[in-house]
Amino acid sequence: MTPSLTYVYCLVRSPKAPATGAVRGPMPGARGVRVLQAGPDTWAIVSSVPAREYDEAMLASGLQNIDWVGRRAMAHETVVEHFLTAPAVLPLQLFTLFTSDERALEYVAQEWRRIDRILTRFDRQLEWGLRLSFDERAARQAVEDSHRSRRTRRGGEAESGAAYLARKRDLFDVTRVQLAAARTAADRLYRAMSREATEARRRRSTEQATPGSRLLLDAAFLVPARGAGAFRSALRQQARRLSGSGLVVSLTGPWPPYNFIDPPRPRRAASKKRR
Amino acid sequence: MPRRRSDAEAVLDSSEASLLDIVDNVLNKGVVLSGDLTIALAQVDLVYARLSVLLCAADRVLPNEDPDFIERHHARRRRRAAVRLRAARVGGTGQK
Repeated sequence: MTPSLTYVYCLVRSPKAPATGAVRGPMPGARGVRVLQAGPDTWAIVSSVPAREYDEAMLASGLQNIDWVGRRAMAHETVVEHFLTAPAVLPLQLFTLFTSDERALEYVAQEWRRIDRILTRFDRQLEWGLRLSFDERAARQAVEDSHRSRRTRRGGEAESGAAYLARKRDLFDVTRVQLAAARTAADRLYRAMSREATEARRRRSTEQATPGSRLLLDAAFLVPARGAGAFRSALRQQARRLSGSGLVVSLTGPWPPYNFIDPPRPRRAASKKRR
Repeated sequence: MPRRRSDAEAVLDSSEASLLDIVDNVLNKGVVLSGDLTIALAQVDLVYARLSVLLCAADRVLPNEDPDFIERHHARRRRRAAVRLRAARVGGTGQK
């Protein structure tokens, strides 16, 4: 028998041991998925993986290979997602490995207070990801199209000087006026959706989502599992209010609550000594 | 040529998630339980920086697709890049 390591995917809170029969996609090289009791009503979802496929040297070289990492990230995520129907799931970082089941449980016991606190916060809560991006290219195209159709209506005459200037002005507005309006819309959308969620986090990234498109809102929401329908319909309502071309809203989820592992920061204005 | 979009088009496709999102989440956001094997953080940062460059957030894959998803993901990107290249060439000579 080849030596193996214990790979831990996540911790699950549930009165009974969760069933693993239908779990798909264990880590490459793993022999199925097992459940270990890790505490009161708490279970560790683990696999045994061959030590030589997951030792430090293999991880160091594998981490340089996008296909190697991607495949394992997907396997990890697929297993964690299987347990999203449990009362609470705490996802662990990719490549959390121990030399044995006993060692894994020892580490959980060491961190028990922190783990217990997070699992309690995650009780019947799931994460949803929301993005709003402004596609400048699409917005400019819309300007070009409207000017072209105006010209066609007038019988396809050559563009006059005034029409040329109007078109240039409208194109300039895309980057100034429309972008400013899109930023305001992103702030408003975040505030509105925060009211529908237990907790909300916003990532401040102004990087380009794709060439020609700006990511104006990148947010995660912790939402009661039963409130998912209400959250989605609230979003649909908000999305309808967005006006202007080039605004794209996308919702992903439900996710394990990856973005809510750290407790919320106390609010500055309204903090009245919690706990 | 970019796809034209209607006003405030809402894409509410909750079953899809980009591969980059998944890699980002599992690699950077899961609870860190100091394991017996610890990954040097510098290495993770390195691979993550490269992933961000390689994967475009707009390219979406289904989380439960079969194991060949990465190959197909790359093939899609190559095809799209080829189309863009052709479009650029046509655009360059075909004006006026």
